[in-house]
Formats: sequence, C-alpha cells, structure tokens
Amino acid sequence: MNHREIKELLKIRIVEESFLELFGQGKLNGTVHTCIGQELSAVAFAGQLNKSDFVFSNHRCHGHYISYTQDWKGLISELMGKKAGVCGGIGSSQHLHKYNFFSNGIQGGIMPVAGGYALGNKLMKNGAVGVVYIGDGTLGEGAVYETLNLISKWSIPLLVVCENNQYAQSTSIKDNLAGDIKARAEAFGIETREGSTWNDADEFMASAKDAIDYVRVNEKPLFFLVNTYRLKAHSKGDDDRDKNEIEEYQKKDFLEVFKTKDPETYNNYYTRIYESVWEHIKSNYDAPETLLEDYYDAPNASDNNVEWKEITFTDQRLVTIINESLNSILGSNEKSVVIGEDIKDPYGGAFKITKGLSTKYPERVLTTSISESAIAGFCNGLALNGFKPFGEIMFGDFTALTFDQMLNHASKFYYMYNKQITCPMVIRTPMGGKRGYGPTHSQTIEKHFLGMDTFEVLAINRLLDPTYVYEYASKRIHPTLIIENKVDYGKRHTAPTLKGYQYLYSNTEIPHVLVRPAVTVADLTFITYGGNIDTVLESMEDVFTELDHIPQILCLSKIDPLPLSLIIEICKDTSYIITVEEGSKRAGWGSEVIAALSEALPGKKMKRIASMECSIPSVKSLEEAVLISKERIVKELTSLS
Amino acid sequence: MNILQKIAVPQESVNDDKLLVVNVHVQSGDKVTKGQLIAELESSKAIVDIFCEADGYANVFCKPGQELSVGKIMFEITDVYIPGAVSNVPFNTSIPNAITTNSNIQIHTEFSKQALLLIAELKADKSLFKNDDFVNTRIVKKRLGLEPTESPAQGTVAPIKKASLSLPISKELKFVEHDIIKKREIEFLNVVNSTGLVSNLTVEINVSYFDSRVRRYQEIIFSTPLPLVIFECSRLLAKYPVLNAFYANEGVYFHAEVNVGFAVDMGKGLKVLTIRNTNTKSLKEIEHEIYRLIEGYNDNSLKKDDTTGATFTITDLFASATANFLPLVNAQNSTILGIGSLNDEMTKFQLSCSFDHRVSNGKEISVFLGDLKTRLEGYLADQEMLELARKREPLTECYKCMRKTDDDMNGQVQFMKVLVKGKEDIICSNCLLVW
Repeated sequence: MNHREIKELLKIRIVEESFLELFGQGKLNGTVHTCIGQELSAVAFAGQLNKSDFVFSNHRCHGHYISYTQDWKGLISELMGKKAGVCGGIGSSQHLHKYNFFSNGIQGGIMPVAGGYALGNKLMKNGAVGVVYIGDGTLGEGAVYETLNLISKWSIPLLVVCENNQYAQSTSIKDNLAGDIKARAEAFGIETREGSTWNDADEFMASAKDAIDYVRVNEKPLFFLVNTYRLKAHSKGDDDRDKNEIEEYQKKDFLEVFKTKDPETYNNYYTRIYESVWEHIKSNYDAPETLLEDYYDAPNASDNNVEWKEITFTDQRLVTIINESLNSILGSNEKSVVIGEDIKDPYGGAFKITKGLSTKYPERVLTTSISESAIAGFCNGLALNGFKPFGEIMFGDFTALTFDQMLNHASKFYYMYNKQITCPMVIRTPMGGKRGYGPTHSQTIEKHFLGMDTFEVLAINRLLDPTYVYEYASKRIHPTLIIENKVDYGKRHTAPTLKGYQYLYSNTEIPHVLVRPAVTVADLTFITYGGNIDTVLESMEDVFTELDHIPQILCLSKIDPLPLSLIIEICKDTSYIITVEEGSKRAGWGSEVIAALSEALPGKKMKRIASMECSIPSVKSLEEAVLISKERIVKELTSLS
Repeated sequence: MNILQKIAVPQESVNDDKLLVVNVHVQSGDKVTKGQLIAELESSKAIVDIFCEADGYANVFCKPGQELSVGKIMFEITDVYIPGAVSNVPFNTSIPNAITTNSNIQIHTEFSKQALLLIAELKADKSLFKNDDFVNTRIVKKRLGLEPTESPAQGTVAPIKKASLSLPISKELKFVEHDIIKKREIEFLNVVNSTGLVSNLTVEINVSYFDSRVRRYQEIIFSTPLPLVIFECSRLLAKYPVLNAFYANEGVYFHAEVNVGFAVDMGKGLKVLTIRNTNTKSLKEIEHEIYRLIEGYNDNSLKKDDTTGATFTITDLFASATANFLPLVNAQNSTILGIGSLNDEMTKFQLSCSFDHRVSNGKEISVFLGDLKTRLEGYLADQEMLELARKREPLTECYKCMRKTDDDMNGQVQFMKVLVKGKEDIICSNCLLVW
C-alpha cells in the first residue's frame, strides 16, 4: 500500500467517524451506514477506476464515493443537509450522484441499472468499465440473478463486487444464505475472484486492478467476492453481534495493524486529516440549505389555446404503425435501444410489434430472458448513460414485476440526485382483456403506475396515429410508460362507422382525440383512453337515441398526469362527465379524473364506469360480463338519467 | 354563364338567426345594376336594405313575407339569364365582393326517442331543427324557448324562476308558432319583468278643455299629450337619474344619454322608437321626431338607431279606452311610463309607471310622478281651478308648471317675473319657451 492509499483509507474512516459523532450530537438528519473496517474494498475497486468508468453503489456507499470522486467535502455537506452537498442535501447518505457515480438505497435494483449502464458503454465502444457494489445480504434479491444472467449472456463489461461482511443488517450469513456465493456467479458462466480486506493489502489491491483489467480487456463481466467485516453497527447503535467476534476482526483491520506498526506516521496522518475534516464540518454549520423553489419543479399549466383539427386516417393497422414508429426511431437515433422478451426475429415479439427490427438493428434490438425487472433496470441504466431505451413488457400484467425499477429508480433519479440527471426510459406494454387469456394476461393495471414523480403514462388509441405518441415519448427526457391495448394491434387507423360526429385531434404537445357532434353542443362527456374508445363509440348511438343524451368523447393520449385545463375546457359546458376505463373501479384512473374535476367544476353529475373488481375470467361469457361493454355503459347511464 | 354575386341573408345582430323579407323589388330575369336596392329585410331591431353589388341579371329565391335563416341565399346575380339554371353553376370565386355561403351543406338531423315524443306532444315543426345534427329533449326545449338558453353568468343574480307547470297540451288544439319578431319581443321583455321585482304606481293628471289646451303647445299632434310627456320626462330624468338607468351585475348602470323611446304597434309588430338626446330637443323638435319615426315605422324606413338605445320608455294608450294598465319594463331600462285614456268627463287621465325595484323604489317613483303631474297640469289644466284645490305660494313657483325655484339647480332653467292677469307672478324658462 502506498501512502496516498493509506491516507485515503484514513480519510474514509475519519469522515465516517465524524458522521457517527455528528449523529450522536443530533446534528445530522436521517440515517447513516458506515463502512468502517471495509474501506479497503472501496480504495481497491472504486479507487483504481478511470474517470470514464462508473460506479453503482448501495446504502453503504461513502467509501466508494470518496475513493471514486475524492469529493469528501461534498459528501460531508450532503449529509449535513447543505446546498453545497453533492446532491444539495436531498439524497443524503444513500443517494449520491457525481460524475459517473450513482448510489441508491434499494437492495438489488442497482444491479440491472449498472448492467444497462455498462451495456451503453459497450454499445458506444468507449472502453469504459464499471463496478457495481452489492453486499452479501443483497444476494437474496432476484434482480441480482436476472442481471448476472444477462451480463454473462451479452458479455457486458461490468465488475460485480460483492462485499461479504457476513451480516444482512443483523442477520448472519449463516441464517440467510444457502450454498456458495461464488458458485452462484460461476453458474452463470462468469469469471469469479475472491479476496479479503485483511491479510495482504497489496495483493488485494493488485487482484482488484487485475479484475478491472480483465473486464476491460475481455469485455466480459467478473464477479469479485470481497470478504470483509464492518467494525461498527449496521447503521447507528443497532449492533447485537458478539463483542469477541468484532474484536477479533478489529485486530485484523488494516488500519489497526498499520497503527501498531507505525504509530508515528499513523498519528501524524490521522491528526492532519481529522483537523481538515472537522474544519470543513465547522465551516458548514451555518451554510445555507436548498430552497424549496430551487428543488421542486411546480407543474406549469400548459395546453392553453388548444385547437382541434380533423383527423386524417391512414387506414393502416396499428401494429404496422407502431412497428414503423420504432423502426424510424431506431433509424434516426443511434442511441435508441429496444429490449424485451421474445422480440427477436423471426418471432418478432408476442404481438409482432418488433418484427424485422432485430434483423435491421441487431446490436440495439435485444431479446432477453424472462426478466422484467432486468428489462426495466437495463432501460434505466441505458437512460442514465444517455441512451433512449424502449423496453417491451410482453403482457401488461407483467409490468408488476418492473415496479421497483419504475418507482424507486426511474421516477426518483431526477429529484433524489437533485436534478443533476434525468432518466428518459420508455416502457411499453399491452394491457387489456377480451382475448380469453385469463387472470394474469388480461388485466388492466396501469392504475398502479399513476402518480409516480416525473413519470408520464401515455396510451395509444386507434383513432390517433400512434406515431404521435411514439414521437412524443421519444422526445421526453423523463421516464414514460406507454399503455397499448392488445385488441387494438390488429385494428386499423380508420374513421369509425358512427356517422354525424367529428373526429378531431388537438394541437397539444401530445395530441388528444375528441369525438363530438359537428353542430350541436354535447351535454355528456365521456373521458376515456386507449382501447376503451371502441367500447364507448359502440354505446354512443344508444346513449343518444335511448337515453336522450348528446354525447362526446374525450380520448386522452396522456392519462397521467392529466391534461387538466384541456379536460376542463371540453367538459365545462356539459352536464354529465363519465369516465370509462377497463381497469377496475376502486382507486382507479377514473377516481383521479373525477376528483380533479370535482375540484375544478363543482355541480356536474359525474360517474365512473369500469370493470368489476375480480380476476378476469378466461371463459368468454364471464369475461364479457366482468369487463366494460357497451351494454354496461348504457345500463349505468340509465340509472344516471 | 358566371355567377357574379351570391346574396345571402346577412347577420345583422347576434340576436337574430332569422330575418323577415319585407319587400323584393326585382323579379328573376330583371336587369340589375351595381348599388341598386333590390330587397328589404326586417330584423328584430331594424330594416336592412339589400343592395346589388354587380351589374347583371337577378335570380330571385325569396319572396315577401318569408322568414329566412341567416346565410340563406336570396339572390344570385348572373352575367346572362337562363331561367332555372343558376343553382347548378359553380360559383366563380374570382369575383370581388362576392358573398360566399355554406348554406347548401346538408345537415343530417338525428332525433333521440324522447325528443321525438316531445316534438309530437308539442306539435312542433321538425324543420325547426334542420340546422341541428343531434336533437334531444334539451335541444327541443331550447329551440322552442321552453327553458333559458344559457345559465346566468357569474356575478349576475339568477332570474327568479316561477314553478313551471308543464301541463299536457291536447293534440286537437290549433297551434300557431310565433314569428321571429314576437319571439324576440318576449325575450326582450323577459329580461327585467321575469324577475318579479317590478312594481307599479299611478297618478291622475287633471285636464281642462284638453283639445284647445293641447293645441296651444303642440303643433302637429293633437290626439295625445305624448310630445309634452316626452318633453317633461326628458327634463325630469336629470333630476331622477335612476329612472334613466338599468340593473345588471348586482348594481346599477347609469345611461350616459337621455334617449326617450315610445312604444308603437300599428300592425307591424311592437317597436320602441327612440328619440336620441331627448333632453336637448325642444318640444317642437320632439313632435317632429315623433312624426318622422311613425312615418318610418309605416313605410319600413327605420334605421338601426331609430329602434335601439331607448333609455326610458313611454307607452301611449291615450287614444284607447284603457284608463290604467301595467306596462312592462324593457331590457336595459329601469322604468316605463304608461299614458292612459282620457276619462269620459274629459277631466282626467292616468299615468302608470312600472319600475324595476332593484334600481328604484316606490317613494322615489311617487315623487317623480308628483313632479311630472304638476308640470303637465301646468299645460293642460286651468290654473285657477287648480289653485283652488291647492294653496300655491306665488313668486316661488312657475305659475304654469309649478316648478319650484329650488328645482333644476343645474342652471338650465331660469325664472323671470311676468304679469299674469294683472298680477305679478313668475314663469320658468321652459314654460316661456313652449309658450
């Protein structure tokens, strides 16, 4: 170990000791997880990377951060909640981002994100590699294995460093881990190495360097098991481990050994670093904190002066238009990537949306294992690395498996890293029933994805050319979920047979569709989206002839956040507002629409029409009864009038 | 053959979607010249002249008495005349000043079941809905005026609705739909009177030897004291500005001008004819203005200004047999004054005043009527007989109209001493001028 490295080890330790001290004094907010005793792992891997390389880390990330960025001052300010902190005090201990360093407090989720980031480097052929730090506890997460599989299969230059400190918070490895750690990675055909933070530090440093070089030279993943031990509690004071065990490892700790060997140098270094750390801390006590107006982007009311134009129908099948949209995006943006299950030719995806694309763009149209979490995670990583990924989830129901990536990663990156980075990933998926696929392949579950920060949920419908939706999504800098309806794919973009109505689209950023009488002002507005438009169109004749309402339909292309000013403008002159959705009613999309409209337009009669709250049966008669239908709409409106 | 001009029914005001054809001065095949008057239409407010804008031949698609929708083609002017050939000829858009129209677009009208039932029940004409594409009961009621067309804007008081009885109407009954003019009249009167906040007061005006007295002051109109009433009211409105005002937006708007209107119905529909800036006109000028307006009413030559903008209205039933009645306040007015008939003894007639209680009140109107009574009796009644009835203080009031010297502090009225039957008295400048 050279003395620069020793000083770095000491710096990490002294900074973390100061955090514990400050917590003891009540001067820090939240929590802190120290790596005291494990610092050598940070210096060996994060410390030996190039500037263009990257690091993904976890809740115990201070050492990795300091070794990679050398920005110990920014880290201290961050934990003290100051504006000068690396993330303005927003992320604090577990959520740091500077240069190519990212950490997140969710276990396992960073694995596919790091995989995606590394895939981006591979596609750019820039020679950069990356390290993702996980702990032994994280080995319990499924996302880890989805990623190990893909990085091995795709030969992705990612170094997975597993810091085995033998405890998952308080639970010993003996109680939670079956089999052998290294064997897990080996099973995926990944090169594995092992080392420890005690014994010979120089040898450890060299093997770390060798591992990094292996990944870089061979463009292959490597799994490095680091045996280590944390000398302090999991976070603060929550330590039930055997005191003798801790003492035993304390004796083996590199810095303890060095202190005994060369106390003079140790004390000299310690004092100098200690003083500079505390000088910085003291100078930070009265430093300003981030202001709310600098942090929160208040939504701006757009969609003023909306104009509506007649739709020109292309008469093409939706599957063809979406395929062409993706083809055109892949052709015009070399940073665009399509990832999904079974999307490769000749199969071309379960609904044939990607047919021909993998033949044309083999590097950027990637078929995966059955790994929804990894698909979304790789999309996130690619997006953070400047790519525009489009992930396909084969059935909408399976998006439930991506939820952690959507909510805890994609939707949070922007704010939690204090607006230093955006995540322009897109996930697209077919929802909906009427095909007899049964409970887990028919449900409409987008309501569970509404209201996520920075996310927008879009929906294609067969009256609007889906190219508009795809163009809009391809330009978004924040994450997007596109909902399609599996029965729509085969339909054509043609004018409905229902006569007497105008079929219009708005000149908004993403166009919405309005179906309204050409002359008479409507007195009932259906608000709906996606595949529901045909069900509503089918009901229009009866709603008029039998129920004496003159209806219009507002079919939204962006269902979350709602284009509220546009909806209000369309609904303000109608007495009835009816939401129609294929998902179930309770806590649904319609509830949000009606809640928002109740605030803005009191005194209207409003109603939600949705599917029943039960699993969608496969048997046709029951499936039809459970899902929304023309008959249901007419029946529910009969009770209204 | 080229179509040089298509002439459509113009949109004259936002209120009118239909106009009545009063006169058509040309026949199909007639040669017409640019600037020639070829027809007159009547809107709810005025007569509209239709001029030809090209030299050519007329093709006429309208006739007097027809009610035509705005935008409907009335005439086509062509360079040659071929009977019956015009409508199929493509319109030559290169002709300047041509009025294009889309009235030929056919709208397909769909009726809801309940709408059809209601139309049958009301025996309504389905062609009323030819400009609607979808007709439900709401549209039926709207087109037939069975419910308010618009909800009141924020800041206005909603009209007080009376419980509407929708009694069944026998299908046996004969139904004649109102023409557009009557419908507009109903709408116009609805504004103030439907609130139910209109009250009414009456005073009696003493007269003696009406015929000879009225001829002393009025030069051309002798059958009614209307010119005198208009003259005096226009002067009094300066003293009572709320009577020259109207209610809206929870407050009172005061008119900037005094334009006294008088209601006329001589077989061509009820109209309010307006004398502009009445308070600046002499009695003689007022008489001539009345004469001109009635002539205009009779020969359909009224202009928009003649039928709009009345700030105070008088309705004159002096020549009728009606002694007392309750006139209806017009939109954007607060007050209307009704002149009742002379009694059988020819000694009295009544003035009935309806007023918007949201603007004024009974006490104020009664003081106004008292003033007006005093002034009119100055012209029309024998002062000695009146003096017997009331004790008058000489030298503080005009001996003719009893205007007090304290009145009219705006400096427009002066008083001067005169000898009346050998006795010294004073007269006001108004009375002196009309003498």
